Amino acid sequence: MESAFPSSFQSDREQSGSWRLGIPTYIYAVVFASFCVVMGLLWDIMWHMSIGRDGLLAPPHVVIYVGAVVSGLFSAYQILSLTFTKNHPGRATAIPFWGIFYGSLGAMFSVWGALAMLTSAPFDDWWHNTYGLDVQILTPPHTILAVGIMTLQFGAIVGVLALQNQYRNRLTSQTTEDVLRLGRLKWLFALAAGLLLIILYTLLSESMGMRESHQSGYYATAAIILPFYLLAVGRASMLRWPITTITGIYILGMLLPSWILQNFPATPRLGPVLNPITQYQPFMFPLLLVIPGLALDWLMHRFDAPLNGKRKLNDWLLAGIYAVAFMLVLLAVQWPFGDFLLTSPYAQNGVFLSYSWTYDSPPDWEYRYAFAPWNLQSAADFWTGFGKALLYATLSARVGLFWGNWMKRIAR
Amino acid sequence: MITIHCRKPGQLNWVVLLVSLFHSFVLSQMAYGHVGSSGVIVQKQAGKYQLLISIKPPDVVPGTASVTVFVEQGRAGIIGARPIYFRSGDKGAPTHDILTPTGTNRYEGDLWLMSSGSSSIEFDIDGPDGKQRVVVPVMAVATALRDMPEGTGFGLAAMGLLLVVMLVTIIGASNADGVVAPGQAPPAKLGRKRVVGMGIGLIAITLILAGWRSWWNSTAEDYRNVQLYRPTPIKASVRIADGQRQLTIRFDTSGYGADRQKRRTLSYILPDHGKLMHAFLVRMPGLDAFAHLHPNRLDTLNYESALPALPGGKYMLFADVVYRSGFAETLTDTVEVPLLKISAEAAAAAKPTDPDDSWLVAEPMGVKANAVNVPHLDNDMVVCGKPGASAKLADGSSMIWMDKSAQILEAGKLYTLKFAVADAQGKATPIEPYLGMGGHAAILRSDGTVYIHLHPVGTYSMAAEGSLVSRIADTARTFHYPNAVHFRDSIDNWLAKLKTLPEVEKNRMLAASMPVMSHPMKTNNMVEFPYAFPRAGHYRIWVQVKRNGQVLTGVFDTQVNDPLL
Repeated sequence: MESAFPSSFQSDREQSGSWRLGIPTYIYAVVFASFCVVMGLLWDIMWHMSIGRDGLLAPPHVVIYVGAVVSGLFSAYQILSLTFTKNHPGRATAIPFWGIFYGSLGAMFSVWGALAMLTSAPFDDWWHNTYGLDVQILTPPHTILAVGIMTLQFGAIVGVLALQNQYRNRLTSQTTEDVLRLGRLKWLFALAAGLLLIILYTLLSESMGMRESHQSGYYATAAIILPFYLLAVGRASMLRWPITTITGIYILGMLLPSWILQNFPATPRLGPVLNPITQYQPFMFPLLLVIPGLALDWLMHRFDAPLNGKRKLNDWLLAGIYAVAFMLVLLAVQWPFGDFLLTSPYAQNGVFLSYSWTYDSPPDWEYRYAFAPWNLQSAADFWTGFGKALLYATLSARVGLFWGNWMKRIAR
Repeated sequence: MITIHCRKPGQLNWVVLLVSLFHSFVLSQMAYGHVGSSGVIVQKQAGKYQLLISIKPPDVVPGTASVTVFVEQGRAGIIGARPIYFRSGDKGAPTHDILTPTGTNRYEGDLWLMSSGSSSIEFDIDGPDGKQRVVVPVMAVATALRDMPEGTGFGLAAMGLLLVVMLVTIIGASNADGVVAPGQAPPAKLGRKRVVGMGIGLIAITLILAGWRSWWNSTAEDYRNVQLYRPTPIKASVRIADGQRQLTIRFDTSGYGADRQKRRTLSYILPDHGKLMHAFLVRMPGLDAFAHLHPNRLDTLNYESALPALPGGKYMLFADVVYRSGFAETLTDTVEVPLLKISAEAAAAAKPTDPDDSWLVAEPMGVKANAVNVPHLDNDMVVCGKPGASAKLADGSSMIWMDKSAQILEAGKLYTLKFAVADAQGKATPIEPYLGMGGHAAILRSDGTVYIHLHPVGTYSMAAEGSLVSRIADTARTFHYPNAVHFRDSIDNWLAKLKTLPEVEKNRMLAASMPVMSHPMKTNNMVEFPYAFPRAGHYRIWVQVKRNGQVLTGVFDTQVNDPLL
C-alpha cells in the first residue's frame, strides 16, 4: 500500500503546477549543492594547474563551501524541524535515531558529509604545517574531504531515490502531474549520480589519464570502481537508458568547465614557472564511458528485466556477464582513444584538451606527446593484469548489483 | 678605562622597531643550513639604499617564507619580492609580490617556496632614489618535526568519534528503517537488521580506518626519512704524520645509491671568500680552544689540514661548504685531538696548511653548559654610556664590543654586533681586510647546538649569493652542470693561484669573485655583524680581524634570555 504523494517530507504542500512539481525544495537544494561542489572542485584543479597559489577564500573554494553549506544547512534544517516540531507529518516517514532525532536517510548522509568536510579543514591545515603543502590530490586529510564530498553527494542521490522509489511498484494509473514529477525525479537522480561519478573519476584521474591507458593498472582501477558504481545507479534509476544517461552527464560535466574556463586569462603565481601560460589550463578529456555504458544498458535490458517472461538470471552470473562486457568495451574504446589523445596532433586543441600543460611542467618534455617507457607494458604483463582486472570487475559488479537492489528499496 | 671613538646611536632606530618583531625566531629549534641559526639576515648597500633584510624560510616545503625589509637609508617607494629557484632560474620565477609597508621604512610579506633545495629571493626596490635589485640566497628545506597540538588532537578525535558513531547509525538505518515503505508497519526483524547493519558497518569502518592510519604513518615516516633535511655526514679524524697532527675530513657518501634526496654534488663545491671549506674547531666543554681552518681538498671526498698548536682534547667541528647550486650547509662532527709533545722550535717551525688559518686558546667559559643568569667576566666596562666588553688581542691591542644594548641580550631580537679595535694605547687603529672583508665572526651556544659563521653582510654565504646571481643572469630555464672533472680542476687551479698571490692582490681578486659584495667598511677600526640569537642560552663569540698582517681573534661571552613578552 502506498501513501498518497506528495511525500510527507514536505513541510508545506507545493502548489500544483509550480516549477517544483511538488518535489521539496530540500531535494533541489542538495542536488544544486552537489553541482556546486563538483564545479568548484574542477575549477580548483584548473586553478592549481594554471595559477598555483590559492587561499582559504579562493573563488573555487568558495564555490565548494557554498555547496557544503547549502547541503549541510538544508539537511540539518530538515532533521531539526522533524525533531523539534511535535506532530510533524514527516515523522511518519522519517527515521528515528539516538532516541531524539528524526530525519530522512538522505539528510543524514548529507549532514554527515558536511561534518566530515568540516573536520578535514583543521586536519588539512595541520597537515600542511607539518609536512608541507601537498602537491597531490590524495592525502589523508584530503580523503576525509573527498569522502565528505561524496557522502554529501550521495545524500542527494538517496534523497531523490526515496521519492522516486514511491513510483516503482505503483500499478494504478498516474495523473499527468505524476508523470511529470517522476520524469523530473528520474533526471534529478541521473544528474546527482553523474555528479558523483565526476568526483569518483577525479579522485582516480592520477592513475587513469591518457598516459596510463596502455597499462593494465588503468583497467584494474576502472574494474574496481566503475562496474560497482555504474551497475548500482543503473539498477536504481528508472530511466530507460540510465547508465548511458549518467555517463553522458559525467562526460558533459567534465568537459563544459574545461571548455569554458580555458578561454579565461590566468597567470602562474607560484614558481617554478617552466611553462609560461597566459590562459587557464583545462583539466582533461574524460573517459568515453558512454560507450561501455550503452553496452551495459543494452545488456541490462536483455538480462536484468527480461520482458519476454523469462526468469531473471542469478546476480552472480549477471555480474560476470556485465563485468566482462564492460571491461572489453572499455578496453576497445580507451586503448585507441588514449593513443589518440596523447599522440595525435588532432587532440591538441580546445576540444580534446591534450594541449593542456601545467605551469610547472617543462613544455619540451620528451614524453609530452608520447607514451613514456614506464607507461608501457609487455603484452604478457598487460594481459595478466587485464585478466586480474576482469576478476575485480566481476566482484565489483556483484557488489554494485547488491547495492543497486538496496538503492531500489530506499523509501525514507 | 679605554677611550674610543663613539658612533652616534641614531642609526639604532630600527632596533626599537624590531623589539616585538622577531619573537618568531625564538621557536626555531631544528638544525638548519647553519646549525641552529634559522633564517637569513642580510645587511647591504644597494645604490643609495641601505637595507637590512630578514628572511625566515619555511620549515616545511612547500611553505611560505616570511620576509621583512628595513630601509635604513634611502627613500624607497615600492618593494617587490619573488622567489627564484636555482633549477629554473629567472625565467622560471613567478611575478613579484609587492611587500606591504608596515611601519616607517619597514616592509613585510610572505613568499611561497615550492621546491626543496637552493633558491633565492629577489627584491626589486623602486623609489625616488632609483631602482635597485638585491638577491638573497635561501635554503628551502624541511626542518620541522611537529606533533599535533593537544587541542587540535582532542577536537579531531571528538569529531572523528562523532563521525564514526553517526556513520554506524546511518548504516544501521540504511539496512532497517530506511527501506521500510512509508505507511508500512515496521517488520518484526527491523531491530535485528539494524544491529546486523551496524555491526558490519563498524567492522568495515574499523578496517578502512586502520588502512588509512597506516597510510598516514607511512607518509610521516617518508617525511622523516626522505624529506627532512639532514646535513651531509662527515667523518673527522686526527692522525700524527711528520711530527704534526693532520685533521682529515671525509664526506660520508654511504647511502647515496639509495637516497637521491640526500645526495650532494660534491664535485661542484665552490670556494666561499677564497676557501673551499671553512672549518671551525672548538674544544668541549669550556669552548676555550678555537681554530678557524681552511682544509685542502685531496680529492672529491677528502679534505685535510695540519692542526695548529691546540691543546689536546675533544673538539666540536663545524665545516661550512657551498655547492654550485648555492646550497650552503654546515657539516658537523666531533673529533679527538691527541696531545702532541714537540719542542717549542718544532712548533714554531710548523707551517699551517693555509696562510689564513688562525687559532686561539682563551679562558674557558667557566660555566656549565646551559647555565643561565650567571655573571659574566666580560661585563667589565662601559662604552659611551652603554654596557660593553673588551678583549685583549694577541698583539697587545684590544677589541671592544660597542653599543651592546644591555648586559643580557634577548633571543629573537635583531642586533648589529659592533666591534672596534684599539691599539695598546687605547687609540682607534685601522683594520685590514681578512679574506676579502672587514672581519669574520663565529658564534656558538655553550652546548654547540647553535652555530653561525657570519660576516658584515649577514648570516649567509656570499658564494651562494654569487652562484644565484649568475644563475639569474643566465636565461636558461633548466640548469645544466658543466663537466665535473673540469669544473673541479678549474676551482683547484684558481685556489692554488690565489694562495701564491700577495695579500693586496689576493683581496682584489676575492673582491672580484664576489661581484655582489658591496659592503664598504664604514669605519676602518670597526666591524659590524647583523645577527639574531635564535634562542636563550650562553653564547661565545669569536671575532676575527686583521691588523698589521696578523689575524687577531677577540673572544666575548654573553647571556641571551628569552624575551620577557
